[in-house]
Amino acid sequence: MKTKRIALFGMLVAVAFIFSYIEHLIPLPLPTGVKLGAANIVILCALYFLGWKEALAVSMVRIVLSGFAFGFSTVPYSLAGGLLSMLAMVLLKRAKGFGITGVSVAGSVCHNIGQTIVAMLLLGSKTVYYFPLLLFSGIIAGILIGLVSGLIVTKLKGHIRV
Amino acid sequence: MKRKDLILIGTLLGIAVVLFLAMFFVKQNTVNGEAVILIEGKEYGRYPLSKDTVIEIPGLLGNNVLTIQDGEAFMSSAVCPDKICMEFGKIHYNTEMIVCRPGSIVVIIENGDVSETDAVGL
Repeated sequence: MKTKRIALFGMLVAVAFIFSYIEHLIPLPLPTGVKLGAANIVILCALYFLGWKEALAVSMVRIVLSGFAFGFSTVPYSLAGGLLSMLAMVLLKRAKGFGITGVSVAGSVCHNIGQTIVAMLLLGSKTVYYFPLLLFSGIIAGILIGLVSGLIVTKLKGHIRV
Repeated sequence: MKRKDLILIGTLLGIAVVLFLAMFFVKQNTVNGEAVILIEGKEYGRYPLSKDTVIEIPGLLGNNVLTIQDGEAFMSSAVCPDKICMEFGKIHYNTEMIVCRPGSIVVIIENGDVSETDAVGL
């Protein structure tokens, strides 16, 4: 691994973690479980600049770090969400015709699907009743994150070379 | 945004609206509401919302306390550090829930009449 690449990875993980930290620090007045998922901006950038393996690595390291920082009770949910979200984003990015916003929305919604599946396994199948709210918030969050990521990817294009 | 992005977002929003409407009708069915406490997915107890009561829910770290008052249920005390379950507020509609992830506790409102819930098919 080239030094430049290691440095870039470290930076991406740091920024993703800081986004999680800020979101943890400033809880928005939203129903429980509803989150913006700002760290996904970094994951999307990693996906578009580096590739899916690299994006997955950043995502997984961020989740483990968040576990150490904020408690492990959310880690199974984040892992399932992160993996399913990455799968959806990679597939949609490869499919022709989707832009970063579509990829982001698919990732965000699949993150919430993954979390709901884990909740159903750990807490009982009745937690599925919480899904409509998560689906709706996932779509909105996905659009916002996608638009922001689109701006960042356009601005940084040509500046990041690995 | 590309055309396919908009189609995807539109489709998902459509699904969300249908689910919300379905949930709305399920919620309206609340007649003899009961607070059902689940620990790790297994039923721990059922308590009618019509009767004011205080329930201690045992957990690994200590007891969470669920209070039923004036036909509504809420988590009045929690042992976990984040107290997220207390932020859920007061619940009384069918399928409304309180989730405590560290304690693997779910409190969900169900109809007294179970067969009616099944008839909805959700």
